Amino acid sequence: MTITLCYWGVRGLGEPSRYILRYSETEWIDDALVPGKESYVAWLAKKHTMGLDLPNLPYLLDGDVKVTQSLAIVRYLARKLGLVPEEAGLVRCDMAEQEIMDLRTAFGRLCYSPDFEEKKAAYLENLDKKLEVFDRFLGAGPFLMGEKITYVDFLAYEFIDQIKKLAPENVGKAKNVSKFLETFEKLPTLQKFFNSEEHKNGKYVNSPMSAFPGK
Amino acid sequence: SSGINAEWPLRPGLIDGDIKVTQSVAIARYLARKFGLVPGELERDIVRCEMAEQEILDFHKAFAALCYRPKEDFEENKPSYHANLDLKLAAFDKFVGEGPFIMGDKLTYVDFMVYEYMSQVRKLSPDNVAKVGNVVRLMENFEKLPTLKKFFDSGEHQKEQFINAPYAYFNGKN
Repeated sequence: MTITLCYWGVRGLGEPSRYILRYSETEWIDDALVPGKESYVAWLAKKHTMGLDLPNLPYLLDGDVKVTQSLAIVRYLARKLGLVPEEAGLVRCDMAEQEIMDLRTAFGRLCYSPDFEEKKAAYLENLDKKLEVFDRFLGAGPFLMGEKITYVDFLAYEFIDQIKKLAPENVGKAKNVSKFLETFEKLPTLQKFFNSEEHKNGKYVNSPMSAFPGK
Repeated sequence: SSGINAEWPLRPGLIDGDIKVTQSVAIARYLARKFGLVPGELERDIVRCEMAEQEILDFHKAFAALCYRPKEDFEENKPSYHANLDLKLAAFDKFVGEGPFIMGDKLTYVDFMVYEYMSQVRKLSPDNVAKVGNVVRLMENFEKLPTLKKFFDSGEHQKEQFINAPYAYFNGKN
């Protein structure tokens, strides 16, 4: 039975899972909902009929397993596909995971803010500080856990790439991070996606209705 | 901060011998592994536990986002916050089920997160939380845990204390 990932047809919080699935070369269905009222109404009608414990988007269906919450989905796929660190690396991995989620949360809060323009400067100032620390933490890599790629690299790549759309110079200043993004983009099993029309056409980062859709 | 050579200059921070942890969720998971408050090996249990962890964090994020708004925005957004809270609580209540804890008989770290964050949500919105019987029961079960009895009996947790930073519009003491 084929894995199905259902989410809005934007990058948002769903794209890291999509990258993990692409990377693993597993068969999967990218059930991407067209952003807009029609899809939203259809989703509301179907939401509580799917056997999801905590109905939400994104959701993942894998045989009997049904997962919601984007990070729970990422972690489920990580365990399934061997993208988890060794026991001794769990503290570092968990800290990295949470730090990346903080970066994404702050970015999301700005992008959906009615006061986007007023808040942007303060956001960028804080971003610089956070990226400086993260850059030091990442070090030489090549990945967050060193030699071994793990699920936090997929979170880091996607969310920093999103932030880069808004703040390319700020991300550019973080040298280890910039090198990491390049390394990720060279992953062999992702070349098919990176060369695809889908990727070249680009996809909204956030809702088209947000202050920063980021296409 | 001085004395804590953690990888992030962030609070909260935990030091356990050579191990230094920041990020509240990383700390919770570390302590969970150390003290056996983990869901076990079955994939369906891990999935349930991790969904609960993320869901309770969503409750806390929405709560904090409201509390730190300036007064006019707080009052303006409170009705929609409550409308959304009721929907989320209804789903969460169904998820919790009979309990006694999130993972059934086994106490895990997510119960600690649920107890604390739901208590905070309840401070602002007692009527909304009172409506969800399974959640209320889980919190009562938590308060009956033998090794926490001393803390709960001391009354310290009932003392007025800040939930959020003192400068937040709703800081839990006001």
